[in-house]
Amino acid sequence: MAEAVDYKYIGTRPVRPDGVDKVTGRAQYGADPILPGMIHGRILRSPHAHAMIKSVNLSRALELPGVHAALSGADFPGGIGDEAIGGESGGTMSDLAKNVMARDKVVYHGQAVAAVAAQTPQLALQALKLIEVEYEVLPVVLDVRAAMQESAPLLDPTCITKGVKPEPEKPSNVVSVTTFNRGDVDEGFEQADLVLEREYIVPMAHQGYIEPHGCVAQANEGGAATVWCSTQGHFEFRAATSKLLGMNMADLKFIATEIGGGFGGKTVVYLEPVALLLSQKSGKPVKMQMSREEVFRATGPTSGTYGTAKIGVKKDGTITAAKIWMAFEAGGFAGAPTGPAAMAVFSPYTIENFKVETLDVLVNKPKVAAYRAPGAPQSMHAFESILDEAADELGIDPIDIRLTNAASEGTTAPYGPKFPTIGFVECLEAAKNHPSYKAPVPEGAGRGLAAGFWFNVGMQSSAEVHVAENGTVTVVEGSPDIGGSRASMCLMAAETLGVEYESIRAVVGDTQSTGFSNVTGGSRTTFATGMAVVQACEDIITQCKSRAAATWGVDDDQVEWEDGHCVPKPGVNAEVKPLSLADMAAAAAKTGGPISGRASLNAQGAGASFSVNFTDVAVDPDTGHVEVLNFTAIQDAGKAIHPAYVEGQMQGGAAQGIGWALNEEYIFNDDGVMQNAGFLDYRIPVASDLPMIDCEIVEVPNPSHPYGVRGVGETPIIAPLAAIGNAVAHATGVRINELPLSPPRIVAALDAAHKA
Amino acid sequence: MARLQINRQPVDIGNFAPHDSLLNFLRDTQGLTGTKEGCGSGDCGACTVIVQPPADAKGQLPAPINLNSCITPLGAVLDCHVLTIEGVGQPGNLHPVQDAMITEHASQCGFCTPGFVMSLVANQLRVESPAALKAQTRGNAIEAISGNLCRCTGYRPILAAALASNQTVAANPVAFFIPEAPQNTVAPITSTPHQYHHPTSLPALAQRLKEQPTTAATDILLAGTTDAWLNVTQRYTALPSAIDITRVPELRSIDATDKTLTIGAAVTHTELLQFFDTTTPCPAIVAILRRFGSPQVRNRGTIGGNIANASPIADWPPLLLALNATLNLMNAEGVTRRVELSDYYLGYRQTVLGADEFLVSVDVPADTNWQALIAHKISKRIEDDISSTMGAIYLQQDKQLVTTCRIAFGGVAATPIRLTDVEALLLGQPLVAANIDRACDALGQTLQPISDVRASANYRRSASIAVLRKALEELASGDRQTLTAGAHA
Ligand SMILES: Cc1cc2nc3c(=O)[nH]c(=O)nc-3n(C[C@H](O)[C@H](O)[C@H](O)COP(=O)(O)OP(=O)(O)OC[C@H]3O[C@@H](n4cnc5c(N)ncnc54)[C@H](O)[C@@H]3O)c2cc1C
Ligand code: FES
Ligand code: FES
Repeated sequence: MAEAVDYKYIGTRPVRPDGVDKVTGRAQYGADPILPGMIHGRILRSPHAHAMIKSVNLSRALELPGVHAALSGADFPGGIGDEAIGGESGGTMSDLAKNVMARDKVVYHGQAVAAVAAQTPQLALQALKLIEVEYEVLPVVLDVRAAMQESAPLLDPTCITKGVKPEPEKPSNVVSVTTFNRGDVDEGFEQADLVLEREYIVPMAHQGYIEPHGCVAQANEGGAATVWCSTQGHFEFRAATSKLLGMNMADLKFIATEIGGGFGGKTVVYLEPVALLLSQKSGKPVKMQMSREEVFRATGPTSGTYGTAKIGVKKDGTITAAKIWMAFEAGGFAGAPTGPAAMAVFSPYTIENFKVETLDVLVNKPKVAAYRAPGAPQSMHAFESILDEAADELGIDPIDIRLTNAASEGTTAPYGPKFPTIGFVECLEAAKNHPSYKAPVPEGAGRGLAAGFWFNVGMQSSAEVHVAENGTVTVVEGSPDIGGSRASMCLMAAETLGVEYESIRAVVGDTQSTGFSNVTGGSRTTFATGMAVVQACEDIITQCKSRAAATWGVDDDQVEWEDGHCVPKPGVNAEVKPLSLADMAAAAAKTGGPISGRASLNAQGAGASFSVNFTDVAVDPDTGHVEVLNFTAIQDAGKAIHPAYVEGQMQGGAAQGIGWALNEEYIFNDDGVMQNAGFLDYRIPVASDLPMIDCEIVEVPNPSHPYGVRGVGETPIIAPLAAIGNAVAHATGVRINELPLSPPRIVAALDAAHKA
Repeated sequence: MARLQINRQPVDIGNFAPHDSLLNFLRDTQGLTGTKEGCGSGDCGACTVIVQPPADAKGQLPAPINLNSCITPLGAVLDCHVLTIEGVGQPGNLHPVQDAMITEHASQCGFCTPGFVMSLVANQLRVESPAALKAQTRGNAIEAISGNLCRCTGYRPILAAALASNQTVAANPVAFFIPEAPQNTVAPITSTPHQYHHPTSLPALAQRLKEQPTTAATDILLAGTTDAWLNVTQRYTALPSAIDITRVPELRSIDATDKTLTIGAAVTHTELLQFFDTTTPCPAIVAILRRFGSPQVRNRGTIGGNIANASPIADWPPLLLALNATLNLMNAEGVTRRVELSDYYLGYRQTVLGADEFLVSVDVPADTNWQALIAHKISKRIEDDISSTMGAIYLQQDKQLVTTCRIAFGGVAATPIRLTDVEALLLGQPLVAANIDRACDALGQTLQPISDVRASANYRRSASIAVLRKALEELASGDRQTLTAGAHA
């Protein structure tokens, strides 16, 4: 088990190897490659949120001079099967295929219907106007509650709800129901001194990465192809593309460019299969790039939810029972994050009686995709809000009520296993001792606190480590670097090998130059890919030891690795100088050739990461504006390999959570057309909306990782929703259980409370 | 033929269309892909570049500005020097801003980084002295980056980089002054075949308009393009020709006579911010302009464009209505006329402007008491945002009685409006609580606001009442407050 030890490199804050490229504009993102003869692809999108496609006629577009190719759903050779895709975003291959290009039906406004490739982007747009599509418009359903009515229009007439017994006979828009139970909730509520029940609404929200989706595809004559794309997982993009196009996976080379943010949203293919098919048809490299409007309308946001929460609490703060029922918007195709939402919601607490039910409901909105801790912000917003209200009613400090019920090592998690060492209590205590929590609440303001939890995942990763002839080191791994993971890989390699950080570089290999790796998602990269890098370095150490042993004429087990050198074991009789990695590299030709290590693994034991956030807000009752005066994020990172990047995840996640709590929301008209599909009206925070977000990293090492790492990327977005909500409640005296807490909503709620 | 300079090199533009944007030219034609496209609509700042315009008619070199290249026509920067991220500094020779962005870990995914670097460098170029740069606060840094979105970092490390690099540059300012005047290798405009025109006098502008086969001047007349270009990038409208009015000296000046203060239609918000901050101090205008769009938008956007665009939520019209402004118009024949701003708006996006007419300037009476203006803007975000509602009140009192009162609102009707009925209730009366209540009630009765994604009608009404109440209470107590959706402008 990893101890809290002093490391030489791990825990330091060196500059990242890709820093210079990023500040000078040299870093290449998805839409940056320029190839000779390259043409530009654009997508025609459905003007209706729900309609049958009667026909698509491309011929007039193809006649326009300068147009090189056009296609519609019928042109895709593969993909319509029923196998599951797996990975972070659920769903079937068949749904994925239709989401890439509609076949006989569109289920949301903006769904792709056809595409063209032309000499210039402008010409491509002109050509789109020449494509004739005949639709039969169907009624639209947008609200989960309406979608569950028997009279609701059905998005998928074959959809029979899974997860309920007996199996329903009639189709409905409810794809599945996920249930977790423990004990007897009715009995639990009876034991309680206080029982509360409330409704909670969270809006559909977008990841809002600043880089729109972009890629360049080049099909070669022999059937092989190369695709440059902005992705969180180029291996998964390769797999999906090969299936949709019926291509041999071995022929496909996917190169992950730099990625301008993903947050889960770039785990799904949209453009790549289209660009490649256009390239095959035209014989030219094709660049495709979405506009911001397309990103909002047609890439996966996360689900809006409608739910109810019920809690029973004893006077001393013990939770006797808890119940959550929550309907998630899937969008036009199945796949809302109902599983993790249900599994996460009670995880911070020991609760004897609970029931949680989450529903995956089809509505005529874009198909949702993963967004940081998918599902947990919505479900935990409900429970962290109602728990706070209970604490208020009982006059208990919000930290104390959480400490009373906190999960710790050995607690059975609501989803089954017993927790190994976890750091929730440590986070709560850190909050209690934090100077900002001890400071009085500023006059006229309100303070709110909430907790967050995320499982984190392991999954498959590969890494190779090559030692150059002068002893410098290249780490090749398969996880696209979004937030500085290359620097963290270098740090772990430096620590393991005992060589300078500066002599190590990490690169993200393409699908033909490194082993399979799952997406950068689930907060897994530093944990799982890091583990592969460490093991690959250990492979090198083993090889070095045996080469040194051969050189010195001793047995392999008589050599040790110490601070980057092979040394004889104490007591071994050898008049030899320690051999550094550079020495070994210089002599490699004589000792067996180049030194390389490799590791491929399916990482087990990802450590859960808990957080506690608190904030003070001031509310202007006249305008409804909420000013966030301060915000403190506390989180267990296990071990922070590069603390600046852990803080970066915590601050960035907090900013997204604050934005979602206060202003971000999808607004649709009755026809299902998003009304705010741009950054002007879909408001993500600018600098003046945020305080300096304070971070405190708690380190309770994860026993399953060589350096104690837990994932940190996702947990940070969860707690801000309820923390802000609880703070607004305390500032105004009014609980508003629907997000976002935008100025109009606050003014309306205060008016209503005033009148009541 | 070199028609502009990029990163110190003369560049031959070749053929281009009036609707080609600077961003596409940089990325697609020049291969300068360090400048990013995040939105194409002026909202994210990823496409920010710095532009040094050529010397004006008097031979003076205007200050360099940062702007959003996605909503700037390529034609607008003819004869200018454009500095992109590639020209700021390269490996081995980084600008202090770039260096600080690395050492403060201010770049996470890095996609926003070039835009932030450009805005921070532009901020340093704008500051008048090293001492002032050294003294910049976190507030200055926030203002400098208010037109740039970052989704990864929460901004804290970027602000740290801003402040750290300010110190480095303040210590050695000469080394880091980047943009140079464009080289004088520019051919005369008339000899070029393109259809992007830069008239350099009022008669030339009128003449050019006369020659254009178009129905309405507002289709082809371009000022800062911060409104007009959205048609081009969002709706992919092709422009057969364009008349850029930003180099017409008569439209670019602010002139004070004993009767009026005359503001040329093509004066930018940045220039007006400076004018009302120093030359003719007006705290209300300064507070509104500080929150107008972003530095990039203010550097390009003009007062004339704001008025002519005729949006009901534009920020200048309420201010100018309260200031009793008059517009000077001219048509393609060179004939001028004057129109009271209160008579200018006819309906939603409709004005009295004739098809061949354009705005020359705005007159405000010279005897304006600039301190008597109070204005409040309500928007969801403090910066880089459009108003939900905005109110401006010009009010003077004598012997405790209201002698002048003009109340104007934007965002509460199809056009910006004067509220003469409400004014009448206050005129000749003392500013006491009962009268303030009456005025606020009357405002609530009168307003028929719109509902849209930014705010509901009810919210607009109640926020407008709050605006009027706070303004009148301020005037009654003589105690200036700030009421912005953000508590501090
Ligand atoms: C990100 C962003 C933020 C913004 N924030 C704000 C804000 O906070 N407040 C606000 O009020 N606005 C805001 N705007 C809108 C815009 O910036 C302003 O309205 C600006 O003043 C328009 O001026 P312009 O010079 O750019 O006009 P242009 O876009 O060049 O022109 C707009 C229209 O007016 C016509 N026109 C321009 N000048 C004349 C003239 N002299 N005579 C006749 N017609 C003319 C043009 O033909 C065109 O039809 C914002 C815009 C963006 C992109
Ligand atoms: S690309 Fe977003 S402002 Fe230009
Ligand atoms: S670092 Fe990713 S958007 Fe700013």
